[in-house]
This record gives sequence, structure tokens and C-alpha cells, in this order.
Amino acid sequence: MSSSRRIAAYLIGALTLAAALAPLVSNEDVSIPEHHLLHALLLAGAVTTALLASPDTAGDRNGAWLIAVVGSPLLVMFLMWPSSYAYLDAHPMAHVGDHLSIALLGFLCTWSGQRYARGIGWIGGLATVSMAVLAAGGFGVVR
Amino acid sequence: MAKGPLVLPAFLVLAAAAMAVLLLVALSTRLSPLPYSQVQPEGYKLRRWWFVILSLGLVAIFAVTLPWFPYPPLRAAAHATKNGTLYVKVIAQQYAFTTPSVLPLDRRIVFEVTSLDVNHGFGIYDPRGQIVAQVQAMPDYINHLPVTFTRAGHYTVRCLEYCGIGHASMQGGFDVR
Amino acid sequence: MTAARRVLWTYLLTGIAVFTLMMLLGIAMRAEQARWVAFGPQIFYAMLTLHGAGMITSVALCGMGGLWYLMRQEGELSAGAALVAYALVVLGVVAVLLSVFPGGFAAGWTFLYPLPFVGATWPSWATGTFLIGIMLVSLGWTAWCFQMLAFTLTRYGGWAGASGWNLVFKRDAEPHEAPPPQSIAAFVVAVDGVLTGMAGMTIGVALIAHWLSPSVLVDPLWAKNVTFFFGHAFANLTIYMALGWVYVGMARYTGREYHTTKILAIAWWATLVFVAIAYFHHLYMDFVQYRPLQYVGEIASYLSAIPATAVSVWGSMLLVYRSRMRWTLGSIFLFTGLVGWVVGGIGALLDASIPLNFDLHNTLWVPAHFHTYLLGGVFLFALGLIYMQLEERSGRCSPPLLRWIIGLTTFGGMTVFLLGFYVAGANGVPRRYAIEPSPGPLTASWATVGALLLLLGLIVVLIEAIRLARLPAQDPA
Repeated sequence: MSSSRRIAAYLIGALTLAAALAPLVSNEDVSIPEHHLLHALLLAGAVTTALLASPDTAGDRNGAWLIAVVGSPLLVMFLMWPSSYAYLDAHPMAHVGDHLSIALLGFLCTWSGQRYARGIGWIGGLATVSMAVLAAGGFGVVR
Repeated sequence: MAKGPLVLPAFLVLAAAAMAVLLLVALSTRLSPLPYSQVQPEGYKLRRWWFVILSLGLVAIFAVTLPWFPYPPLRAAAHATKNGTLYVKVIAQQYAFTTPSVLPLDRRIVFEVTSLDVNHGFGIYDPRGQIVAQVQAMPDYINHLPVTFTRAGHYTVRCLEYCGIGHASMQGGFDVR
Repeated sequence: MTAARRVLWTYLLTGIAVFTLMMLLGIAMRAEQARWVAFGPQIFYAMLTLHGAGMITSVALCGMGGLWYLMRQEGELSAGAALVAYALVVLGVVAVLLSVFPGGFAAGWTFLYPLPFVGATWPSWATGTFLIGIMLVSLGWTAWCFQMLAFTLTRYGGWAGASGWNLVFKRDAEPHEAPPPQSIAAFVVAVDGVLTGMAGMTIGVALIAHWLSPSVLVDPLWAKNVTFFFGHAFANLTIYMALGWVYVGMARYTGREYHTTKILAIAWWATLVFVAIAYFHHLYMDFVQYRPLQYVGEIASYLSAIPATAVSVWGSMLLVYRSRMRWTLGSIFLFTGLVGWVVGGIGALLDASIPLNFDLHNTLWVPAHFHTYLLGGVFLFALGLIYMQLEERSGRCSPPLLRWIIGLTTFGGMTVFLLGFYVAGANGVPRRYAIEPSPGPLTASWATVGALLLLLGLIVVLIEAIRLARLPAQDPA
């Protein structure tokens, strides 16, 4: 891994972690779609970090990695449960935990994908980010 | 105008043509075989024509049929009452429609269709039993369906989106005169 | 039997078994619409739900097994991973089954939110079990797609190699060779499949969230879009998976060679896009949908006919034209599958025209066209694959008289069955009606007779398949 890539990985990883801590400093009210989109950004950071940090090998095609690739995005969706947002807004520490879990799962999906076969990581990561964006379209609406 | 009955002959003709072509290709295996190196270049040449004709044909059909698209004009016709358009509210709910019982002949009507529970379809059948118009009835949204009835008589409304086990019995209707 | 063949047959036999059961449900429903029997709407719609979910999964299983096996011929693939995907799909099928019988879930397989939650006549657990079942199918499908994607990427030199980009732009990609047509198919199906699976998981979690905490509301128009994106693409991809072995089979039966050309690769890129965006045609009658998407839906649906006819069908016709084609049951099924695909496609194109859709949307025209290319297309392709395997293994094929009997009963019955849908649809009979207005009952009675004839033909197909399977394997020399 080149040193510039390593630096970029640390930098984006640190930024993502910092973003995950946002609820500690701000408790501004955001709408549910905005909240989903902010999570998409967080995921994009985690996915990019994983892509930069993953080893440059062809991947070992061990099926066990697939479980993480397919399962992580699913769990991310569950962590974006809209009715929990009110509770999370009132409990910053839980909210940070939610964010860290989301970022971790985004990282896990991408990293495992790259370990499975190079190229799978970014499509898995992209899918995870897209799911969060898609969710903003109508998962949780206020009537 | 109900186009349903015209669709069937069109379909049968096109389907028969496609089947005939494939059948001829199948029957060609009874003739003396040709080397593939001879078939392929000829086939590819012919394919270029097919590609051009089909692409242009499909795009042309799209363009030419645009005036028959059933959508209301984009700038919602809230002001159109001036030119005599009648606005009619339609409410669908498991398993019935709420509509007026009488509607005018030869006058532009815009149905404002919504649902109080699940998705339904608001399908209007003319006195001969042909579909003349339809639109989805959705909760949280209002669909505007413009129709002008040119035939007097009793119109039946049927649900055209599966809405639960009473779906087939979800009917309404109105008289046009 | 090798591990690869075991995977193939596990998928194929499960697919065909589920298909057969679902076909019996289908005949029962047509008989009810013909007013020959009366189960009542609760049972009818439960059967309809199971029929839809089961059928689409059964053809998908055949497609997944068949294409996996072809890729296995091209290189190393883990049988374990294929079986994990299989297990997830089968678990999903079991959950769906339980939710319908005994659960009574009857909202249809592509139900539209908020349907299963409002006015339900079944217990809440049945709704949840159905959702979890569909989610498991979606997970298994996505896992399979990732496996295919990983294989094609590794085998043919990354995205540029597997997609055919290097071939089209003549970039040298040593040491990787260009992918054969079936591998391009596998690549495109896998990419679209990941998108499909992603959408399926998103709507699945949204619905499960609403099920568990009803205060989570979902936008009905959004739900419709995502549901149809998932449902349309998943159904559509079953055809494109089968094309993989249509290419291979046609080449084998004609003794000609079919290679990836630039045009073939470009056609599959077009297919990749059209499969993803044609689904807007399901929302034509949602006038509130963003208007340009309606036009995109019509154009994408129209244009998908170009790669289909100009490349896959044309290519197959050229292989057959004046060749030394061996007309066995295997090749007959593959070739007639093409007929069903094209004819169903014509029905689809008419329905995809917005002015016509205004009169045909949600009438029996819709099941008319998709039964044509699922039953008369994908299912025949699956039978073609099965017979191709059996014929190659035993070195024998079926006698001509038997081919005629099977041809007349199967294709004759199928034609009568399908015409019942088309005629009723053109006359405005709505789909998904337990009790249909006229002329529904009349056309349903022909359809039932046709379906029974088809069933008879398929019983002969089954017996003949068992006979071939019991013949000793041919000496591989």
C-alpha cells in the first residue's frame, strides 16, 4: 500500500469517526429523510476508508466473507429505523453508538467484499450507500 | 375510446409473423446444410436492417402516440373550471367507491381520485363493458384523470388494483346523460 | 456425480418441484374463475399469493443453478457458497409457504403498501413470516449474485474484462481471455441482481419496521416504486439467466460456434440498463409519478426489444439456419422457448405503450404476456437444459413419436391456456379477480382445459426424463 493511500485512509477514517460523534455537539432537529441522507454520507466515508485500507490482493473467494457482504447492509437498514430517531435525538450517547455501528457495518461490508474478490467491496459498499439514499425517498414519513 | 379489442388482432398478427419466421428457420434445417461461415455474414448484414428498422420504428411509435397519452396537463388544472371542466372527487375504500351517481355527457370531467386505506384502481367501463379510462387510487396522493364521456348510459366502476380479499366485489357506477 | 453436477441438480429439481406444485394451484385458480369449483376468496387469494411467489422463485432457482453450472465449467467456483445461497432461498420459500398455509396471508406476492397491514383477514404473524420469507429469498439471491460477480471479475480480468469493455475497445488484457457469451450474461445478471437485492432489502426492512412498530410510516408511492423495481427486475432476470444456456445449447445442438462479439457485449450493456429502468411501466397509471419517468419507462421497455431480438434471438436463429441441427427434445424445448419469449415480448410491448396500457393495465393481459415468457419461455428453457443434460449423459434421445405427442400436448395445451388470458384481457377482464365479469368465466374454462392438456404433456415429459435418467451413462470417450 502506498503511503499516500495509507494517509488518505487514516484521514477519511478519522473524518468519518468525527462525523459519527456529531450528536454529542449538535442536537439540531433533522427530518427523517435528511437523517437517512446524513447516514448515507457516514456510510460513504466508511466505505471509502475500507476501500483504501483493504489489501491489494485478488481475494481468496472464501464464501464466509459473503455473509458479511450481504448481511451488513441489511443490518444497516435496521439501524436506520425511523421511529427510533426521536429516542436517539434525546440520547446522544445511544445516537453515537448507532452511528458507529452503521459506519462499522459499512466498513465491514466493503472490507469483506474486497477480501472475497477485488471489485466486490466497492459494489457492496456502493449498494449500502445507495440503500441509505433510497431509504430517504420514503422509509419513515410524517403525516 | 376503448382500444382493448383492437389490441388482440394486432397481437395475433405480430405473434403469427414472429412464429412464422422462427418456424421457417427451424424448417431450414431440412435443406442441405450451409457452412456457418457463409450464413453468418449474410445474417449480420440482414441484422443491420432489422436493427435500424426496429429502432426507428419503436421511437416513431413513441413519438406518434404521444397525443394519446392519458395524462392531464402538467400545470395542474386548478384554474380550468373557467372552460367548463367539471371536477369530481372519487374516494376509494375497501371495498367501495364514492362517486356522484350522475355525470354529464360530452363535457370534460377531471376525476380527483384518492383512497382512504390501501391502493385501489379506479377503472371505468362503458355501457358496452369496455374499459374507457383508469387511474390508481392511492392513499396520501390524488391522481387527476381527465375523461369526456361521449356515450350515454350506465358506466360500471371496477377496482383495478388488488386491494384485499373483497377486491373482485369492489364495484361502483354512475349514469352519464 | 461431481460436486458441480450435484449443485446443478439440487437447484433444478427443487425449481421444477416447486414449479409443478404452483402449476397445480394455477389450474385450481383458473377452474375457480371458470366457476367449476368454489374455494371462496380467502383460499383463492392465498393460492394466488403463493402461486406468484413460488413461481418466480422456482424459475429463479432453475436459472441460478443452470448459470452457476455453466460458470463452473469456466473455472473454479465454490459449491459450498452456491448451496448457502440455495439454502437461504429454500428457507424463504418455506417461510412463504407457512405464511400462506396455514397462515392465510393473501396480499399477493408484490403487494403494495399499506395493503398487508390494512383490512387483513390473516393474523399478524403471517404477514411477518411472509416478509421474512421474501427477505430470505432476496438474501440468497444477492449472495448468489455476489458469487457470480466475483467469479466473472476474477476470471476475466476485472470490470473491464468481465463486462466485455476490453473486447469492445480492443484493449489487450493478457493473460485474461474474453468472456464467452454465457459469462457476459452472468456478469450482467449479477450486477442487476445486486441492485435488485438491495432494493428488495430496503423495502423489506421498511415493511418489517412498519409491521413491528406501526408508527413507522412508509410513503405509498415510494413503496410502489421500490416494490416494482425489485419485482420487475427479479422476474426479468430469470429470462436473462436462462439465455446463458440457450447460447451454449444452441451451439452444441447445431455443431456451430457462438462467440462473444462486440455487438453482443454492447447489447448486454443495454440490457443491464433496460432491466433496471423499464419497471416504471408498472406505474403508468400513477399519474402523480414524476412525468418524465413515465416516458423513460415506455422507451426503456420498447428498446429492450432491440438487444433481445437483434442479438439473442437473431444469434440463435443464425446458429440454427441451415445447420445440421439435431432436433431432440432438448433442442426443441430450447427453440420453442425462444418462440415463447418473443411472443410474450410482443404482448409486453403492446402493454408497455401508455395509450394501450390505459385500457390493459391490471387486466388479464398482464398475466397473459408474462405467462407467455415465463411458462412458454423460461420454463421451456429449463426443460431444455434438463433434457440437454440427460441426452448428453446417456447419449440417447427420445423417439420421434414421443416428441410429437409431447409437442402437441405441451404446446397445444399451452396455446389454449394462454389465449384464455389474452382474449379476456383485451376485453377488459381484470386480473386477480376470484369471480370475474364476462367473458372471464368462459375464457377461464378454455384456459383450464388447455392447462390440463399441458399438464398431461408435462407428465409425459417427466416420465421420459426419468427413463433417460435411468439409462446407463455413455462412455465419456
